[in-house]
Amino acid sequence: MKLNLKTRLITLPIIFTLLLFFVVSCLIYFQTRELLKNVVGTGLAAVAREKNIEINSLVKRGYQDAKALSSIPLIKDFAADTNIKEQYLNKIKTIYKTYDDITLIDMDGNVLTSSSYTHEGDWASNSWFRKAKQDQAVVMSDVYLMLTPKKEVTSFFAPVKNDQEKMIGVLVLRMPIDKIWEISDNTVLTRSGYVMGFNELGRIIIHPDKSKIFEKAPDNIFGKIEKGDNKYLKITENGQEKLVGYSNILPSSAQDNEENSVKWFIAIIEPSSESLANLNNIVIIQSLMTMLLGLISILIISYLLNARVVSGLSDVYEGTIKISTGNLDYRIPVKSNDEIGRLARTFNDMAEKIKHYNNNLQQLVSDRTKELEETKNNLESINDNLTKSNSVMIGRELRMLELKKEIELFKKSKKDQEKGKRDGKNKKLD
Amino acid sequence: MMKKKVIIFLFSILFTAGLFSAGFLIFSQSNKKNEQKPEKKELNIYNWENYFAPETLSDFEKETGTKVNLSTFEDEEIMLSDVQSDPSMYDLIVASDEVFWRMNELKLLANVDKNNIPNLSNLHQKLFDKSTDAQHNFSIPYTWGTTGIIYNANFIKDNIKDWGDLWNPNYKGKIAMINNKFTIIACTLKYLGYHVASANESELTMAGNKLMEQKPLVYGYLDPMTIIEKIKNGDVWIGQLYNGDALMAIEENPDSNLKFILPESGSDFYIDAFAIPRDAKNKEVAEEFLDYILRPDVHSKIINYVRYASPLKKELIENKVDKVLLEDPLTYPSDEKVEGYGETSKGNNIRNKIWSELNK
Repeated sequence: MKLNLKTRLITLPIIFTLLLFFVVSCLIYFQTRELLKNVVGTGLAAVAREKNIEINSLVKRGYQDAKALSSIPLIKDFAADTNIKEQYLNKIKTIYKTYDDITLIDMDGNVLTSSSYTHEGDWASNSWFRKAKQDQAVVMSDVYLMLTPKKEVTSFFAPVKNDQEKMIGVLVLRMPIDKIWEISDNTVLTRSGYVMGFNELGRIIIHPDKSKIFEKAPDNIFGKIEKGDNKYLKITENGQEKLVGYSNILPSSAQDNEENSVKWFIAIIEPSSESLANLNNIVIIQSLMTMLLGLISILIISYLLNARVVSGLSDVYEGTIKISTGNLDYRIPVKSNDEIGRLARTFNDMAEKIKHYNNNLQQLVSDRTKELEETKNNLESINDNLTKSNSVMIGRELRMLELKKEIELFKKSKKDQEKGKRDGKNKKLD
Repeated sequence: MMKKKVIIFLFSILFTAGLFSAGFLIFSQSNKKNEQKPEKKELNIYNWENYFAPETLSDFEKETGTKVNLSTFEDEEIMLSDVQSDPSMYDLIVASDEVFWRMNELKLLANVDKNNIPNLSNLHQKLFDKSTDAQHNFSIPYTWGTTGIIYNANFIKDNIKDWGDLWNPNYKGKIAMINNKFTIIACTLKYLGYHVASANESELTMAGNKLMEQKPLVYGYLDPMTIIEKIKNGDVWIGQLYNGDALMAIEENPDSNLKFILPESGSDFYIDAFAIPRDAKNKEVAEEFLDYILRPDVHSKIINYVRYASPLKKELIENKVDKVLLEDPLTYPSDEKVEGYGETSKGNNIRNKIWSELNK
């Protein structure tokens, strides 16, 4: 397909511009992608840290509540009636709604009173109870399950001391872990993004899918985490790249009892395609905008070029057509002083010259024709004369020719006569 | 000509560098291999006291080169608490089916890889039809037993027949009960004519009241080994005890005049089993040990020592286990006499409260 100059002048720059912008956009996209991942990863780590702080403040409150409740006189009074105490514990539970059970245990691990009596297992051998007893300090348990009703909980063990500051028992405040899940589940993330928490043994304790609780945290996360904040990982799960920002939970009461606190890890997991989707959109929109602006500028430039070059050229073209059809008086309008203008002017000069030559030629032809006419007439008169003299000459010539012929004939007849006489002689001799 | 020389020179440098780096890589890898010498296998078992034959562990150590560390507990609830506090501390734990059902519900147990235990086929499967883990997904049967009454005939001349004898005011201060809330409440429920694992609030309350009634008569709520000790030396005359422990005590102390009966009103039935805690560090070694335990020769030696009923097919062990034991109705009680626990979660709060009251 042959394109005219006008189309070519518009389409070619557009194609080249689009190609250029596409290449540049691709380069920008791939170069910025890794950079964006860093930004998003660090961002996720910051979210993890935020969640960590929120969870930690809840945990810290547990420590404080356990400490505060363990110093209430009625709780410290081990001789008080069990039923009254039980009622009192239930009353506390209605005020401190974060806890679903409050249990008071003596130093041998026997339950003195409990608001629900739902603990499975023995207290005396419970390592958190033993630690609280040994350290005489508040201890937080890891996450564990209880049966009736079935739920995940964590407990705070606070030493109970009498007025003489002698430890006489342990107060256990049990907190359902769903209080912590409320914090994690309320995190605003991408569609498939989620918050996961796991303990030091790598067991999941926070997950949006509750059936995953106590399952092993994926090795590509648990095996690769480092202590500290603002860290992130890139993992591949089911062929999908995911970004994992994480933060290890601050010691529950960092300032007073770092040893006793549980160390959890909070990880924010998002597929990088989703995390980068917004940023990708920005890059794509920016590229498209630049492309569009470029396209518009190219269109304007093409239009202007078109107006100058193509219209100038078509004036020249029109002129050539007119001149070729004989209109030698036609002159191309000269609109500019550039190459097109110069072309038009030169063309006009050329037309002028052609016209001039044309006029001269006509004069020359008529002069020549006149000369030829005269020559012709002269020749014709000469010819007449010649014809007359020629006919006299030809008559003489013709007479001469006839004479020559008669001589020849005479000669011939004479010879024949001589020959006949000789033959008669010879016959006589024989 | 010059160009060619330069190229050859550069190539030879590259080649030498390549050789060096390859050599270094191979060397460092072989070093790594040397560092990764297989460590000696280890197995941490948490079991009742005296619940293996004396040679069980040492034979396993000799056979496999594994170092076995044995820790013992006095009560399953203690074991449960320990595993709950740190599910990575032990590789193998022992408890009854009821406890393991709860522990599995509490997500404290790992699933057993049955492919590693081909000797599972040695089990007398019919025994486990009603078990809470009939398919042995998280627990592998070890022995099975019931609870009865042990008494010292030197002090008790009465005819001991049923649980009611543990409420006899004549034995005040000489009665011992097992320190396990499930066992003592189960036997009391049975005595009152209810199911051993009743979840009915009024039945449990009745059992609680009955036990509170007994409390002033009781010497203490003790672990099985202590009960045996006390009953031998006369501190305690009569007590509740698991049949295997009682029969072992009788055999080991022929002079103490110890007697054991299964109460007329019936008793509980439990399957003691092994399980692997959720975060066990040596799960495969634990499974290797379980396969070893289920071998008829190994198992027979254990049964002969611990005097509990074996869950293995009778034909596999009958030539190796004491005939007396195999025919003893105290070891193999009839089905009508005993009752399994099944799934026990309802009513546990009442059990806990009763237990707390008894311990005050």
